[in-house]
Amino acid sequence: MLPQVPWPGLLAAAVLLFFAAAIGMEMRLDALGYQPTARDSQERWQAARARASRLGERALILVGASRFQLGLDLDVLRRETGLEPVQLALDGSGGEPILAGLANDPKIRGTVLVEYYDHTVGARGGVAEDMQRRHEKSSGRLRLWKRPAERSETRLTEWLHERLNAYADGANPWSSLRWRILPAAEARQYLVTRPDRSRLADYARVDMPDFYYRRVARTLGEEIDVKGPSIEALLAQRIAALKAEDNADFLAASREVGRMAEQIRARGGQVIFVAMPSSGMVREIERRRYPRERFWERFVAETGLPGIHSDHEPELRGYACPDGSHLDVRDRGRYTAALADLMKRKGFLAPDQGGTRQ
Amino acid sequence: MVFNSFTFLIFFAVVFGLYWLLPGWAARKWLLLIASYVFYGAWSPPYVFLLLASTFLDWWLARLIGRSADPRRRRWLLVASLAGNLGLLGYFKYGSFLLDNFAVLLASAGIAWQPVDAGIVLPIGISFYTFASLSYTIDVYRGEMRADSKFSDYALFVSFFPHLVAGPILRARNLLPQIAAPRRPTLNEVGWGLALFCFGLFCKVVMADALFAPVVDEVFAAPGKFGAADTWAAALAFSGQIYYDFNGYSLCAIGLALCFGYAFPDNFRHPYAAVGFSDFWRRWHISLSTWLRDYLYIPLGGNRGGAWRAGRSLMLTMLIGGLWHGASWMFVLWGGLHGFYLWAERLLQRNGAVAPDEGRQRLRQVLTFVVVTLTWIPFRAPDADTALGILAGLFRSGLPPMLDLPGLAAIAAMIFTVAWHMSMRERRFEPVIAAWGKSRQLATVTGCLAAMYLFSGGDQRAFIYFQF
Repeated sequence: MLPQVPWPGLLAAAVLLFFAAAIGMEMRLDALGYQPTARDSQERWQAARARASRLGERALILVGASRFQLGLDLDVLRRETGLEPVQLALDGSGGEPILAGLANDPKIRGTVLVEYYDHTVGARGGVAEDMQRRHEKSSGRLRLWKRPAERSETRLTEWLHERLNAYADGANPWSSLRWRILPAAEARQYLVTRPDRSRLADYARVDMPDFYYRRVARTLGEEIDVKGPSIEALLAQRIAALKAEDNADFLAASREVGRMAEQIRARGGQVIFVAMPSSGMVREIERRRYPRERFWERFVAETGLPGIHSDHEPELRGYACPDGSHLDVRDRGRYTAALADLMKRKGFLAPDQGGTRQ
Repeated sequence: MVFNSFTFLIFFAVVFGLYWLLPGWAARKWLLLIASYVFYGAWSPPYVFLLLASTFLDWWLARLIGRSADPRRRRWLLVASLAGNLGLLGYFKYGSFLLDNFAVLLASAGIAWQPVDAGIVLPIGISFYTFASLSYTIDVYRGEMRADSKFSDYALFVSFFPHLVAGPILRARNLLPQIAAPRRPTLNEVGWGLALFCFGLFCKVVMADALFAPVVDEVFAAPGKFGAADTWAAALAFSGQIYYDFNGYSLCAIGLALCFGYAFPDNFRHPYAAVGFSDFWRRWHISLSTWLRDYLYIPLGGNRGGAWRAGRSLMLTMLIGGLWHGASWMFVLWGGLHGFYLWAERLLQRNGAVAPDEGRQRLRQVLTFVVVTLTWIPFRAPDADTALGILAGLFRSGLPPMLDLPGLAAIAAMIFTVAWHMSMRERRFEPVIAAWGKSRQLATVTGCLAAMYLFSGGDQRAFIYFQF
């Protein structure tokens, strides 16, 4: 039994009303300064990982976390090294599961830049482990079984999401409405994800110094009200009380990392560790918890791998991280060029990449 | 290809447009057949051949059955059809399960044996299309249908994309006559079909995925972490999730078929207003429960032969019905519990303890809903430990509610759902929406579209029933 309703007209009116509301949302988000971005989705990471295998020795594979994603300019790396950069860094995750996967993949014969962060050496689990597991599962399947509908859906979704403000930086329209349009205080987008999975951070668009204090509190691993009185003094007091971490597990994990890297080097590849810059109280926390002589220097000694620590290289010093932990979009190009130049001069890259391999 | 995807919307727009442009009935049917195979192949191209082979086997065997007058030969041909379909189902769906259980059995006898992982990928919708196809050979065998369909018509019946991967489980006797008789859908049919598709997607995207699923996933992932309030919220939320997920899919299927002029039967009839369990199964997944009744329960003896024999048939039917949902003992347990409820209810009714029309209907509705909700726990839990953890959590005191807004929203939505089902128990939705004013109708459809947009872009979950 059909309900006697003039459906064609009613549906057309509903569609028009819906589009009017969606366009209204887009215009409001635009007025608030939001812009469409790529989505750092699981599918995008998997595609990048597959590309890393395909590129062979031409690949410059970046493994790490947000400091690589925000701090390295892939276009500059491409220009300076002649290699094809592939961004595999994952926000909020240690890169070791990914490095282990690369070590076990016989197709990986290129250069691997690994973000060094003392506390992530030996870290397993989390997003990186999950991504690696999914990669192994999907690459184990025969090509025949890959699902055309899934592939087409990924492309269509990416195409649409990269054109609408409502999906900016991983949001969906509901979160955009709830957190970006409805709040009385004007929200501003400071991160833009690019299709190559790198991310641009414009810290001129965040509320300082609260944003910085929140990052310091997060690095301390504490929940502190950053709007409280004497926040600077309170944080300084907490930092002063920090003790150096024990390095026994760290050293064992370092040796394991060395073994992974050796597998890649045995195939003609290269593995280089890079500690990105940090600033202010964040750097002070890292120095106190992970003293250079007990962590970084022991790491380099145990693994025997080439490494660059931004704090210890004159060419890489002087880059201020506005939130204490990440480079601003205005600095990433210069920093990346300086890093590439240093890698070449130190001989970490092969001769045809502008260096003399160590 | 899932209905809640851009790929499907484009696919549907192209097929629908071509359907209206093509002049002849035969050409339109060929278009739908090809489109249905493309729809299936978009999930995994090689399994198209499995679908084709299964379809051809049943069509051919049914023809042989129809032509034969020899009862013995007819029986063997039916056995061949049953073996073909159930063999496919057994290999793809239950192969690993059987081997794993065999290994456990051997281990209990002190024999260590590990089955080789065959890496079998379950063909999507196999449980649905094998049951649909089996109904044809059985009906022909029983003389309830003539086996005179053209192969292309029969292939369209089996593969017609709205019902192919998650039902409703159609009977050949319902759909084949519609395929044989030329028709052109009216504008009103297309409009109502699209409206149903819109309501179905709303049920799936907003209610099942955005509202209920997060609460369910969080609590079932760590049952020991939550107290009574959260665990009850999750149990209720799963009742909501599975209803809105599967009913949403069924509404989409019914609506899409209507856009091409085909009428599918209802698959749900306000099941959470059921008074007792036999009433529940007349309202929940109707196409499966009637299939099991007609092709399993009645041949097993049905109500004949006394209470114990009827009870045995009932239990067997529900255990198999449970196993149909997936290769896991948890589904068997779920089916067994429902079999037990149905049996107990029948015994009570026979002894006059439960009069079918007594005045305490509301109380029995609530009781039925609560028991059905609790029985969903083993259905959702991946293993017995999780199910027991959730059951223990229902009575765990001392832990404050952690789910706050999502948990409250899930409970509120379920209260609304049950109240809606009770108010609609004896009614259909069509006259209700027709009686609404224009602005309310417009607000409903626009609201559904807007809500789907707002909650889009998250984790795209496949319809729960795709796995069955």
